[in-house]
Amino acid sequence: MTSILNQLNESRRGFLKTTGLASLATLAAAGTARAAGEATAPVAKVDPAVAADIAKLPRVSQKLVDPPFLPEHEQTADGQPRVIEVTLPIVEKKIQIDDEGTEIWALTFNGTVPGPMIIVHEGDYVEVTLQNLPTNSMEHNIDFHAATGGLGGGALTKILPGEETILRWKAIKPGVFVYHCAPGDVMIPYHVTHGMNGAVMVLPRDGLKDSEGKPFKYDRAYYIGEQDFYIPKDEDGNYKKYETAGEDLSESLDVMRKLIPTHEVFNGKAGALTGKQAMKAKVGEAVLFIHAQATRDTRPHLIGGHGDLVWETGSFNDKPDTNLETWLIRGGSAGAMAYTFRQPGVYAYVNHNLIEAVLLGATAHVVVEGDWNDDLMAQVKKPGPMQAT
Amino acid sequence: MLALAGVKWVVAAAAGLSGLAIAGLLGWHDAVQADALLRRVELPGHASLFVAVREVTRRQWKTCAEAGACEDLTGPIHRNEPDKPMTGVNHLDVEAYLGWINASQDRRYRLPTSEEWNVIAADLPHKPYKKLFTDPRLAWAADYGSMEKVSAVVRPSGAFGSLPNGIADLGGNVWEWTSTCTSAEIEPSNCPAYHVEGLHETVLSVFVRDPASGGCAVGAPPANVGVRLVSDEE
Repeated sequence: MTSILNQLNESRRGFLKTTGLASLATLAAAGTARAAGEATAPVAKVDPAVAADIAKLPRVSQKLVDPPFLPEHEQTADGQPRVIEVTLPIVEKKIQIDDEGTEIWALTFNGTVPGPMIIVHEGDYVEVTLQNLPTNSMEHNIDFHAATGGLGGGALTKILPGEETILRWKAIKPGVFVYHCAPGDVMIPYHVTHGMNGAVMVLPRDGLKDSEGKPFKYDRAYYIGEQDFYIPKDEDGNYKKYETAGEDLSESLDVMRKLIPTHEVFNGKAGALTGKQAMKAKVGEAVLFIHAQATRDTRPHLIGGHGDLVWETGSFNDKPDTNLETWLIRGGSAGAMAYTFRQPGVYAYVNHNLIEAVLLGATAHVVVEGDWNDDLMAQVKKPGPMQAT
Repeated sequence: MLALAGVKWVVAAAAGLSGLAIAGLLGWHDAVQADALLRRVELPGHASLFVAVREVTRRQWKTCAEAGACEDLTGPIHRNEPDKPMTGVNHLDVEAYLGWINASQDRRYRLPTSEEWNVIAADLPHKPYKKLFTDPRLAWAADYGSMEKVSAVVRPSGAFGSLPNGIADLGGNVWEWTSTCTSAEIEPSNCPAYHVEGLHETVLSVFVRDPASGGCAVGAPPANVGVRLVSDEE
């Protein structure tokens, strides 16, 4: 992250130089009309009455964290709505997507696949500073499924390398939602299948409710971004490597057109959430799993557990389903599941298309501490020779 | 060609082989002969085992495939590709390879047993680790996470170095088939799964060429599976 921040500072300096703004303070002091500047940074027009109302709200900067973790947040909101400020640098970078050394020039929000989770409450405003690092090579933007109008913000946020833009949108629908880059034509699926997607959680102001409408609190939460990759192969059948971002465009599109991913992974890499990086929990803890897939259907399943409460479509205004074995996350959406662990051990959290789980990489693990419950399960006879009948 | 033969000579000489074995190596492109790079390993009870310094290579496998005795599993091997261990072979493939090599030369080769493999690899460093669970009812999950993730990229033969006994790549990212069936109760010809040895021990179905993680399997799978031959004959 340090390197991204450094790059960010570089980018800021570059931006200030080209726009002729005196200092960062000038930028901040511009308040609701923050896009103030000369010809290179046109003033954005905002209804003064709306701007004045929003200017009265408290502003909070949200520190984004790398998935599968969530930024610090309260489950219920006290008092009036707030303006939640987030900065999303866009970083084009080469990443490894399996242990066999397969690479992709990923297009990322904040340097990770998936992009970081943003959390607000219903009625809050999300104010995103989107920055396209000068070291990048492509135009980018952002479409928030949780936002209203302007193609989810995509129409208002197109930026070239070295540019930034600020978009504010009001969170009026509680639930979990995908966001992704959608820069136009073939670049839309290209960017999304190169990692450029993330999720937003809009919590109801009074928190989540269970199926009976009673308040539900989670003890911890994880965010699983599932990513389909389509890596071209050379004539020997080996995955191709490329020198620069974008160089794989036409060959990637050829693979994508067939709709069969070469990799289907959680957190950007096969095995990213296993072993030392496995998710952790304790018996008795209620754990919220938020699962996002920006482009392709998936069917999460917790092997050894259940979906106690499942907001399959992602809408927190809907009553959660209960006690599901497997649930569907539609491509282009996020969903949430809560489970209170009852047994210790290792659980596999998979896309229960088991071909995708085992052969393409869509498997994570949860290591759960606690005491074994013989009432729930016991090995009555260890495996051994069959007894003659 | 001469230079390459010379390199082989040096390797063989360093490996302390008999004059007969070295002479065999001079026809360097005869991949079969390279299997003759064996070193003596003492077993408990005064027995000796002659262990291939390296795992069977892709070129050796290709020779078997070209002879029609093995399935052609290597894909193209480019002229400038360094010798690399053959991977992606299941137990049935390995049985075919053994049948071919034993029919094509005097020395009889076989797979090591699991016990023999552990003697051969006795000097591999063993990293102690804390069991995840001590409750015997959680024995199935107790070793989870103890195994460091390793890159599965197959490296040239010898890249992982040798143990003091001269045997190379035992601590590499290619696990090796053994002749030890998962159950002693089962007829050897019906054995459904064999022990596979490497950075950790596991059991694989005779059909598996490319072990993968995921699904119900919560252990760390071998990164690759290959084969190392041994012989009882000096």
